[in-house]
Amino acid sequence: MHSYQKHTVISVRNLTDTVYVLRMTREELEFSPGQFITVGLLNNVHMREYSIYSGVKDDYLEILVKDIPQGYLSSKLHQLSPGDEVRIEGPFGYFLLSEEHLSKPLHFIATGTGISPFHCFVRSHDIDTYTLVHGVSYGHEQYEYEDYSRKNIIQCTSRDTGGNQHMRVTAYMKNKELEHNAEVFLCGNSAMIYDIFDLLTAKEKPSEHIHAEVYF
Amino acid sequence: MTYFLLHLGCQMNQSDAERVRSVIESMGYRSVDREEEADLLGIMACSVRQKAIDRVYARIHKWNQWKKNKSIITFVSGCILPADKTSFLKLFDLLFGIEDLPQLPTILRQYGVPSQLSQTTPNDTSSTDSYWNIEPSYTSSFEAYVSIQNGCDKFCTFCAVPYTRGREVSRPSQEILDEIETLVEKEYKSITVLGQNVNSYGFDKRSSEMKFAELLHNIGEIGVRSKKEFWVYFTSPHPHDMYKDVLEVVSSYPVLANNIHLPIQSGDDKILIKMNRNYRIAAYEKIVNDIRTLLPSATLFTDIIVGFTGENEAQFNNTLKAIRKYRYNMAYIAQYSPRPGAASYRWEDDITTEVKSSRFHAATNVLKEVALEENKKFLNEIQRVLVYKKARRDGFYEGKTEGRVPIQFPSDNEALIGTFVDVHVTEARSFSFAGELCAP
Repeated sequence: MHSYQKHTVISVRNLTDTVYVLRMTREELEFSPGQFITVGLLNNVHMREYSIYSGVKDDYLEILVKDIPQGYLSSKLHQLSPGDEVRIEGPFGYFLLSEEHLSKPLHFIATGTGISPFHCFVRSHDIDTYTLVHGVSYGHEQYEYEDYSRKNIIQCTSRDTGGNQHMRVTAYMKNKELEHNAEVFLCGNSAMIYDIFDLLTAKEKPSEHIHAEVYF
Repeated sequence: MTYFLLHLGCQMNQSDAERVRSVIESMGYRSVDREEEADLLGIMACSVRQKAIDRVYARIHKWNQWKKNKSIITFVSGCILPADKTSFLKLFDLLFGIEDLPQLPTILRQYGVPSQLSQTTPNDTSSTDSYWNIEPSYTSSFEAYVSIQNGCDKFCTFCAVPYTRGREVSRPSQEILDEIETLVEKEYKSITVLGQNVNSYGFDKRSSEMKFAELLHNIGEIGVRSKKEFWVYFTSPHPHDMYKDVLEVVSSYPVLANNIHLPIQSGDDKILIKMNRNYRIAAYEKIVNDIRTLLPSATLFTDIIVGFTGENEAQFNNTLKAIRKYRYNMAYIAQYSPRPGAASYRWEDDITTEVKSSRFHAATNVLKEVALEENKKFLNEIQRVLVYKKARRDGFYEGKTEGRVPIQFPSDNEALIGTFVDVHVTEARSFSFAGELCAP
């Protein structure tokens, strides 16, 4: 049964030319940090999955979106104005931090808008024992890094030297030693997830401590 | 007035079709086997593969041709993707979601088809709950499917069900238990509890509904109270939500059959990640170990997809290893085909047809070896068997063991159909047995 909820757009906040945050009314939506929702327009059959970007304590709901001109939805969402309505279903998903995880060293590894669930983690949980490695092309693609503790974030840039590390996320992680009890969370494109997964399992990290959310 | 209903796809669709039949027949329609003789023509569509959707288009184009010469009404329901829905609205006279089934008489009345039922005032509360209240027209007198849940929240990347059937909605437990109790009273012998992810039953209702293990416990109690012999199966559970308590309940009640269908889909962790299956092989293995400990005589079935986007030889070999290690009695092996509407449809289908076919045969061959070895363990044992039908081979009947392995035995007694018998297993094959009927 399709049981969507209408939410009203509050703002569209551009972070770069193509990446933006869509803020909507919360409408009492309950979710766990790391979950995703499906979003669509009222007059359009297509819905797409987006991780929730805002925190559980925020009184609004946000998603982080990359505008893909040939896509069904992202460009249309980009053109929305305050007061427009969207339909939302969810929340869904199991990319969650458990109580047990919160007591361990946490490594969040993202490419592009895959940073979204980690933003939600950081806004929702009182955690400081995390490292966030964010892979993007250029140094200016700092998606609201002020929301993270500066010492916890490493930006890897593949196409310029604007980040902390001028290399791909996988190259950075290759030389990184993780604590034996660390929990690793991967979010982004499947190529990055595969590479990091191989790298970690080669270092004998048990797969049950590697959590992944593939963006598609 | 006559109707013809074509149902495509899975057991869920079959179960829904049984309810559609009930509603249509309650309006005075009589089922016909030949579509040419029907006044009302319907399809329960399936979106799992493009081929199934192509069949819907082929059928409706044919039926629309007939409209030149006769007055017929066409409808479509079932699993339909949003894009197909838009097209079907132009091609079919009526399109309704299964949750709107109680409104079908009204919809038909509005279309100009009067009937005894359609003259009554419809119930305006269109919901999955009221659709479940419709008693199905079971197509068998001893085997029934009972829906406990509709929709899916898992979003496996190869599957379009979340987009066709919508969110997981659990049917009220009392209705399920009432339906099963009625079936038991009517001497049904095989009851399959159906849902996309049966073991996440109740999750959508949070604490206001019992969970799957408790539901099974209550079904087991029906068995105890009735003192009747019957088998209850469930399909499909999702490994992510498969907790030990479910297996413990199955082990506690004789009516809960010793057969577990646990879809693995792939034996490789990275492919499972890409499929968004949300479990790792280590976790899956733990469930299999629990099954072997708690249900030592249970047969284990699974679903496997070979040739998923990006699957390399090493990853496929992990699937072969899994078949060998978990020793399935049966696996429904599918060559990956992108399903329109599913997330993986947006990815390149980069494994060639030849490679998929070769992997399919390789997986099937390993399964045949393993299943034969497993089935040989039953040689010379007496198996309780539910008799289903006369076999194609003259002088033989066919049934299934509690573990759902087909078995043939010589007999000319048609009265055995729908009853339990004891059969001495004399021959074990990969996916079936042969045996001799024991004296009653």
